[in-house]
Amino acid sequence: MKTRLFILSAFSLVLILFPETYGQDQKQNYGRTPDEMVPFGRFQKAYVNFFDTPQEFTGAGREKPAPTNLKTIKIGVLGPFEGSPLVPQGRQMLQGTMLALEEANKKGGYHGIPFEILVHNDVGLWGAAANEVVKMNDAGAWAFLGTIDDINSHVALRVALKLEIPMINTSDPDPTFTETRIPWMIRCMSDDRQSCYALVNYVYEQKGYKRVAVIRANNRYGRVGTAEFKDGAERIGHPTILEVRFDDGETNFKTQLERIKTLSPDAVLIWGNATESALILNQMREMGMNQPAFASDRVVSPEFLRIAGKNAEGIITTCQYNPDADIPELKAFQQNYRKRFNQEPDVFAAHAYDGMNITIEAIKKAGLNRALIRDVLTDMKTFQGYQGITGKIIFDASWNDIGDIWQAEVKNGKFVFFPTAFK
Amino acid sequence: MKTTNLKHLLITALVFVFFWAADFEIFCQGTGGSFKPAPVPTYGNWKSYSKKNGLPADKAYCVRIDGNRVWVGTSAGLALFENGTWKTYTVDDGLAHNHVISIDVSELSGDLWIGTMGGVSQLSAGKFVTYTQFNSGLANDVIYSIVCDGKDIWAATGGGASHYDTYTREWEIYTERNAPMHEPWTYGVCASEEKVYIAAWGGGVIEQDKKTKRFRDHVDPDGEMEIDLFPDDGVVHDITTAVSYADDILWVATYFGLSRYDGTRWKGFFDHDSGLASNFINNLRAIGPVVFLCTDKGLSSFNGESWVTYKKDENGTSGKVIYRKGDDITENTAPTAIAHNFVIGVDVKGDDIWVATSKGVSHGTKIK
Amino acid sequence: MKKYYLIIPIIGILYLAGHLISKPAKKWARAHVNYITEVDDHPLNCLNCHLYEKEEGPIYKILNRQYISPLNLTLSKEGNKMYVVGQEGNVLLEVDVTSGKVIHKIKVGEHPHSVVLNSNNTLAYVSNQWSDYISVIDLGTSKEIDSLKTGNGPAGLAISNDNNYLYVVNSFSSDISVLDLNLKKEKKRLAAGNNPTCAKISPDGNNVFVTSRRTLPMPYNTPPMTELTVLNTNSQYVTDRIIFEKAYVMENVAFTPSGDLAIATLIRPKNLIPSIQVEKGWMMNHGIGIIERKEGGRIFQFLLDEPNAYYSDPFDIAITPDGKKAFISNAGVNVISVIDIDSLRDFIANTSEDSLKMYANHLGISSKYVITRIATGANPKGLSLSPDGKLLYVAERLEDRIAIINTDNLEVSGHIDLKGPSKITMSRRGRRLFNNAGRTFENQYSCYTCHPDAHEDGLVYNMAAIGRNITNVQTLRDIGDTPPFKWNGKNQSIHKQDGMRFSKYLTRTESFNYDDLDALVCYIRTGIKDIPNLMYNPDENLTPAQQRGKAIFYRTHDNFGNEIPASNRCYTCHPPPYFTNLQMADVGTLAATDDSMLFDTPQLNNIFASSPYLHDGSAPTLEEIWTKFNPEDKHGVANDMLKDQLNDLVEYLKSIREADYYVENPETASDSLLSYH
Repeated sequence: MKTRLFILSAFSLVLILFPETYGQDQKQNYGRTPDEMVPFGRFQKAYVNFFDTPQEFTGAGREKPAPTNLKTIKIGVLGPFEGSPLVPQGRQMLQGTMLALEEANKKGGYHGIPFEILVHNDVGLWGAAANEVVKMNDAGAWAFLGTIDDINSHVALRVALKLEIPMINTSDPDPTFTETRIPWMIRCMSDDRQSCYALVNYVYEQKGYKRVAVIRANNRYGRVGTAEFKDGAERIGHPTILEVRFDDGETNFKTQLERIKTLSPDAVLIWGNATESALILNQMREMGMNQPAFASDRVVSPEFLRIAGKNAEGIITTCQYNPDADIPELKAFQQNYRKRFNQEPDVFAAHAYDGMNITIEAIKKAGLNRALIRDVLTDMKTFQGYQGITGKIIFDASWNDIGDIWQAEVKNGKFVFFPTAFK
Repeated sequence: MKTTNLKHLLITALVFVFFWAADFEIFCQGTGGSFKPAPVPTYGNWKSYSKKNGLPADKAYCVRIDGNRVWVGTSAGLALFENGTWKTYTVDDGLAHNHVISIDVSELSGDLWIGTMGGVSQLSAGKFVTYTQFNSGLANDVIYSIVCDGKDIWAATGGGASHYDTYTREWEIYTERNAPMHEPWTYGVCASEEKVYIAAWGGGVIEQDKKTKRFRDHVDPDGEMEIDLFPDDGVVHDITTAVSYADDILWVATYFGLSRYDGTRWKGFFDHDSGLASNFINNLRAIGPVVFLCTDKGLSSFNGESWVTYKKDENGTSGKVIYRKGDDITENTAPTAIAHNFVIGVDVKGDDIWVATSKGVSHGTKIK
Repeated sequence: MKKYYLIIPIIGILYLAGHLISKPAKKWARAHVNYITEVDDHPLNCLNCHLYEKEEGPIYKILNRQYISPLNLTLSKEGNKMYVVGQEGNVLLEVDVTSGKVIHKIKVGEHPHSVVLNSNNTLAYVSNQWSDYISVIDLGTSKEIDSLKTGNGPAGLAISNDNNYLYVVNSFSSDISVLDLNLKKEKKRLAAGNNPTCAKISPDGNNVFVTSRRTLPMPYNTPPMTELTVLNTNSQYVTDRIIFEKAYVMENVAFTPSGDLAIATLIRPKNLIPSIQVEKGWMMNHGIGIIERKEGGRIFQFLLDEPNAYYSDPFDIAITPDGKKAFISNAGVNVISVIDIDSLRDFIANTSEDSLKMYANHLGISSKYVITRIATGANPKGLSLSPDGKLLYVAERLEDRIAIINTDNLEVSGHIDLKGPSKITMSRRGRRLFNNAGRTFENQYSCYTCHPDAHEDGLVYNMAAIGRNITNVQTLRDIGDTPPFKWNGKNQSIHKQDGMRFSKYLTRTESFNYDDLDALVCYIRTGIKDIPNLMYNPDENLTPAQQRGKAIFYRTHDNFGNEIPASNRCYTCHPPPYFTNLQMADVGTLAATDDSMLFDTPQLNNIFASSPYLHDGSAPTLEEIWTKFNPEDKHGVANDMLKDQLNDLVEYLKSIREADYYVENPETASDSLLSYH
């Protein structure tokens, strides 16, 4: 009897302590959207949810034999490498891919054939990204990585679908990039949806601010990047009180800031490139606006710290990369990167390194057939939970990485990284 | 007594009018709302062509019937089927690029206008003239769709919609700077008598009034990418892939479902609630009352009421034809089938249908 | 009395002053003339130049005349009436052939080109090349009764056998208008070759052949290829585009009566080898293109030239009703070449394919089919045969008369005087010189050959060593007031350009005598009229795109708000009215094969008609000037522009009209100085 009672008690204790052992699997909302932030969630169930299951690729191509007599295995890298304010980030991205590729070649490449990067600049005349993907295809690329700018990423993606060439994005956080149902793409970096949810959680839930103003770049990056923040804030009952915009390259933000200042918000969210964000912060402080400032991940850069100086102190953002994470491969990467490029790797380099490693592994697994490479990349098995130097990659059904992201705060002139409370 | 008789007469008359109207389907949801839509024809006797028997490549992006000739855009050039044999044109012949994505024939001039991954080619009497973003006013060299509308040529490109007036030689570009789209990404274009419709990737459908040159947009009212809140409140998704207009109906393809617009009302169709083979619609073409839908799981055709879908069996050359009207579904086996279920392009003239697929083109004829 | 005394010292003073001034004045005048002409013995005759430099006004009117300049002509089916297009007189002349008198002068549009009659000869259709419409003339009343809108630059005409359709060649917009004569409107417009000119309907009525003059756009530095467009009159589609390789300026075409052959006039330029080859017969050859009209039919090219004698600028061709003879007007040498078609057929039949190809360049074979040359008056152009084929009528354009040739004895039997002005003005004399090859080595080409219609021929020429200093021919329209000349700006005057250096480097023979040189310069300065820009700027109201493009042309700041240095703005180097500041500039387009030099800023008037562009013709379209040849923004700041902005700029450039418009409407320039935002 006692034994029975003991077993029953032990069993009950297990059930109490570990409810997941008997609980039903709760379906996760798309994009890890909190229940209270689900679009129209309080009013109407959607007629169709588009990203419950991954889109199949049912086309032909898997039967194509691998070519012989190749001298190199070409992988394209599309990015801002010349003539853009994003060149520093583009360079980091390229260097990240180069390091991964060089390491793979040291290990024998693809059955002894070295991998080769086809470098293509996405900054050019009128829709250059599209033309560059065509050129990569003509040159025989097996897949390509890119790019940072969201407009160029979208443009490239559409060509990738038509030409059926796998695209691995490591640097564009535009949430809509993966919301296209194109089964030729994966993104191994968290997007601005995740960043915005984390910021909404932090700004409103943890800090308790209620009246937040937004100053954002007057471009797609600013518009799409802040969209989930604004929607989320509204859905939890605190619509943003004002949104003002600025153009890339603008240096005087007084007009916009005056408008914000008159409303005395609790906090300000800045969404733009590092330079403009730093200048905005400086001018805010000059104008006596001492509100807490939050920003997009592009501020995590030496450039921002240099321009903002002391004003940077206390600014909080999200980041898809924690350079201080306790991942042994990360340390090795950072060391090798410094040695190879004489530079500290940033978020773009780190994710590009992961992205190139995934690409190379996919090619090795699938062989020289684009459709089969695609299959491996998107099968939700091979790379699900992939432990990269940036952390664990978790793909959702749209092949977006919804793995953990971090928050970063400037403390004593340095970014300090910590996990977000948003899970 | 008189009042009762009058009431009776009125009620009788109303009932009569109602049934009379119902008989003519005044209330039906059809083309223009007046008559029962023409039946969807069934095609069969499929014969397929691939690299093995004449096409320059297996992958066929588009097909266009041009009198006794058939043009096919492939990933290795432009193929012409004439008198039972295939001929291929490539960049060596003057074609802008070997990936031929879209083709249209000008009724006015008989010329072929070809959208490729490297610009637009005009094939006139056997000679190519190429327009690129560098040698002309073309917006971008990646052409997803091209259409001839009298003297006007419209191209949906990676850098906006391009309009070329073959008389005045003027190029116009429509982007987010002068049309209601967020970004200059266009994927499809078609024209009606009065309007031009542009499928704007992420921007729904942009409509231009030809006379006033004014634009309006049709977007998904729910504004969310991950859902469709209501199926009939507007275009089912803002990422649109193709548009086609015929018989006063605009059909819009997306990778998320199909939309039909009669000028007043939108209606959405999905694979779970209709005869649509798949929500992933690569392309579509409306011919009269019937729209042909190129999906990744077969070819569907639909007249607003009845569906006919063609699929190839996984293994072998046979296939099936699936009929659906309302919830009534009939599936027939067929001795022949389209070349592949990943359908990218289609054209229909008279009793002939040509289908471009991921693994060749197929020619079918009307069987009922 | 005292007053008279005063006169003496005044005269004395004047005499002394005159004496004192005359020597330095003469010295100055001598230096001036030497500078202008680059020679030291050109007569000091101020009036020879300065009297003739005005392009309008009373002096111009006194000195000049309105000539008729017959270009094309046709005969009535009975052969008793002739209808002559007066290109400069803007008239259609109705001539009674029997009496040789002009019986009606019917006013038509600007610069008419061709005339056709309907089958019962009740209506005549005249193409007005500079007015963009067809004049419909009632031949009963001899009055214009209707006008039919066309494309730009209507030239050649062909009417369908059922009189229902008129096919109009639009020479400037390079297309063919199909006019429905019942509905009296354009049914469609079909693309033709580049700068098409003539339309002829085949004897069976099933095809219209359309010749063109300029080469199709070709890869840089490759020989020309010119299109003969074949239109099917049943489908009204273009069904063939026959390419004539290494040939251009295909002015006209004619069919044999059975329709088995079509023969077109053409020129075979050797523009890609140095001009030193002129003396070896390798600069310009003149000939015919033959099309066999049957399944698998061949195409041939043969020359009309002979060793040491060239027959430049073939224009029209007429074939006798018996199919035995073809007559070709060689406008540059005032000659009609007569071809025996049977001999031509025999020659083709008895020659191997390889030899036939080689004979395209052979100067020695014309004797096998050219039976004679008949001398005519100045600048023979259009030809028309009497219905019985006994008489050939030749429009002597720069004589204002029609020559009548007996086709049996092949002699000129008489003339019909069209009653143009009897005085031959300085400009007219210059024009005759311009159109005549007499001053070129063995008559190989005239000024007109490379500058048809005083424009340019669309080719680049290799003037120096092989592959070096490739030069794009420049238009002569609006050239007079835009010194210096040549791309390298080495010639400060037209006198210098067309004087000694011209003969040394180009014509390779005696240079013009000074009277002729003065006359030629007079024509170039005052006699060349620029075409109206009806294609892109018909009514002076710019389209919205052109207005936006104009703002870009005059912008001072780029898209990012940065000020554009004044030296790198469009309008700085290209100000109206000529859209040139007459200065030399480096626009970053010097090729590795060029000598180091700056380029003379060219005028932009009617630039739409002058492709290819840049000094070496490396840009086939205006767009490519900036999309390919301006990577460092040396040719204006342009790399900030979005594609639609470049399109707008190009649209504006295409709208630029003749210089006179901007001289007369200076406000179009001043109100253009808008700041661009």
